[in-house]
Amino acid sequence: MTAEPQICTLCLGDSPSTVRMTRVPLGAQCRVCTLPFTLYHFKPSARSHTLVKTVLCPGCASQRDVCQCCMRDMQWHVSIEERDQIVALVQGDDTDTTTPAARNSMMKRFLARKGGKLGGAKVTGDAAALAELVERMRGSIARIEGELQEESEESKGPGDSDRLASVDISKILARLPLSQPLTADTHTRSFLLYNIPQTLPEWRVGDAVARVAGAADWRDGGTDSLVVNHRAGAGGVRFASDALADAFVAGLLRAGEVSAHGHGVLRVDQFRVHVAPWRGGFSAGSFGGSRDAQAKLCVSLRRFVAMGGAKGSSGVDTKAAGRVGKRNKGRGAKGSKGRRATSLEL
Amino acid sequence: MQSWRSRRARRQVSESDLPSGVPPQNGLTFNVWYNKWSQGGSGHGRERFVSPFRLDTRRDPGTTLAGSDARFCLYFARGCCVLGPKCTYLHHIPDESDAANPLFSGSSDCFGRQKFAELREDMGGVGSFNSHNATLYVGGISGALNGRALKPAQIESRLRFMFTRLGSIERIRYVEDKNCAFVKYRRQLSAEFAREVMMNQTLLLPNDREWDQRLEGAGLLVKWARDDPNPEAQQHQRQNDKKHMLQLLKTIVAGAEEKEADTSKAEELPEPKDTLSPFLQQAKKRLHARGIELEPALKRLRADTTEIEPR
Repeated sequence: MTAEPQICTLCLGDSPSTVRMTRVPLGAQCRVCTLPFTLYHFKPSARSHTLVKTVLCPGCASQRDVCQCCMRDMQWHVSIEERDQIVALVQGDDTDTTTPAARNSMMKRFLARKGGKLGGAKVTGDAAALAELVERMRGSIARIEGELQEESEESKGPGDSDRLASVDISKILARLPLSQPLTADTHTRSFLLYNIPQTLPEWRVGDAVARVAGAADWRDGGTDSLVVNHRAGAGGVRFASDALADAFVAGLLRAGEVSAHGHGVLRVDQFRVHVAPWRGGFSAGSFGGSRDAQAKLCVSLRRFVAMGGAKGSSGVDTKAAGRVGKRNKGRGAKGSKGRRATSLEL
Repeated sequence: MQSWRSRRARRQVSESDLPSGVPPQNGLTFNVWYNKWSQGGSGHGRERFVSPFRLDTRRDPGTTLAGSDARFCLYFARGCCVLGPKCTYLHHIPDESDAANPLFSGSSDCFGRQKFAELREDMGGVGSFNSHNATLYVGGISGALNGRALKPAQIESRLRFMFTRLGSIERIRYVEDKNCAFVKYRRQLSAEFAREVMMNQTLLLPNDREWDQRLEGAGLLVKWARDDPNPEAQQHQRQNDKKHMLQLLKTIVAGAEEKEADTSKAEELPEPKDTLSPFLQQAKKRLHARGIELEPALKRLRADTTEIEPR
């Protein structure tokens, strides 16, 4: 009558053969179907503090081919969602691989009573089908990589619509250090990052900065050390010390890639993020306060990148860049650090 | 910054600083069983509050008495663990080594609390095991500022300042019109941890004029976010999911190959070598990093031990 519980090796711990289990008949409510089931609980090892309990009834667990304790797939130890997606990817169609989740309690019980296998478990729960799937896996990796390559064309971001035409971002542009080239004798802690694609997560930028600077703890703890505004496609990075910032500049120059505007190029995956020294410093608001301003900044920065070395044509960027250049030169001559340099706008 | 591994955890508060377990009186008799006052007004009292404690991400993390299968300390996350170095739960911010730990990706959250099939109606609480969600909704911002009017850029800056310290951020978006923000973490583990840390916290800083009155505010409301309805964002999500699946697929294939190699080796050798499971190897590595060496467990010879075959 009492069948053995379906528990994976990860939950059972290092010595599965000597685990002592306690059985409680009808001891808990199944998390999926809400029906009572025979609860087992145990300690994975004699010294562990935690008590592991079964949370699913055996029926629901075998329908999904998951562990009764951690609800991970018995074969690959991934979540049900991930397992279903893997099966769908390898098979190339996702019509029959999603595990249905009922929302009302009557339907939950009905699904549980029906038996059989659900979603991706139809494949992974069946030895023959699983063996076939594993055979196909190796071949499908190359295919999926190819698909990803095709899809990974850079996203367009906001378009140059009429709505944006009336937005004035000259003040924001005037503060961006677009005319400052990145050279070996740039000594500043803050840098502007632009040409950041919409899809690039902030932590990837942070990792790339750490890699180039050659230090994992480059962040300045007291302020916002990395700001990425995805709407504007721009961001700022601030180092904890001058030495780290110099190492970052040296790393960028060593890579040898320089943009047409004399800015450094930070490689993040296949993307090229441009880096300009930012003596004035930045805050979260440096990339525009409103949604429209950020979108317009994104458009004009993209145009700035596309323009490359061909300057002098019509475009708000050149004019603004010229203005910035003058301002910053004045500041550099005076030798004052600039009031905004360190004060984070809090 | 000094690594948390090289020092012992700090005691965040002393026992005498903890608030009384009895809530402020809003009834005639105190019900010991429910820890509530009864017979009186509407009974609930003030539901939203500002926590007087906060996790100090620089000073608090450190090693504790936690074993290899310990979860994170909920009181540590809320900034009020009185045990400090004697706590049997983990006292640090979730990092890369924890992300690989299978303990933190199962049916319970990083504090060991069981998840549910569905998200709560108000999107708060522990979360759901049916959907992967690493995005937090941050509301109640004006309450957390005690009604102080700040510029949108300043609010965003404060949110960034507080949330980036709790894990790898994918993106932060402050919605000016609705006065709320969405914080997307790289991992669900970080989101679970950050939700508990930032819930009911104030957005005021010690150099604000209102700092002394911060407990009179209403605290941040940090909940799970629903899926982003923006089609472009959904496209990104699908692509990211695909990348993640590809990664998983590669590890699975590599694992299968290893297994094949192992079985072919085992066929050659009559006596298979006793190898540790990947989970135990990881546990051993983690313990080693904390300076604890694992000894082989003594064979248990109890007669009533239930024998279970590993699947």
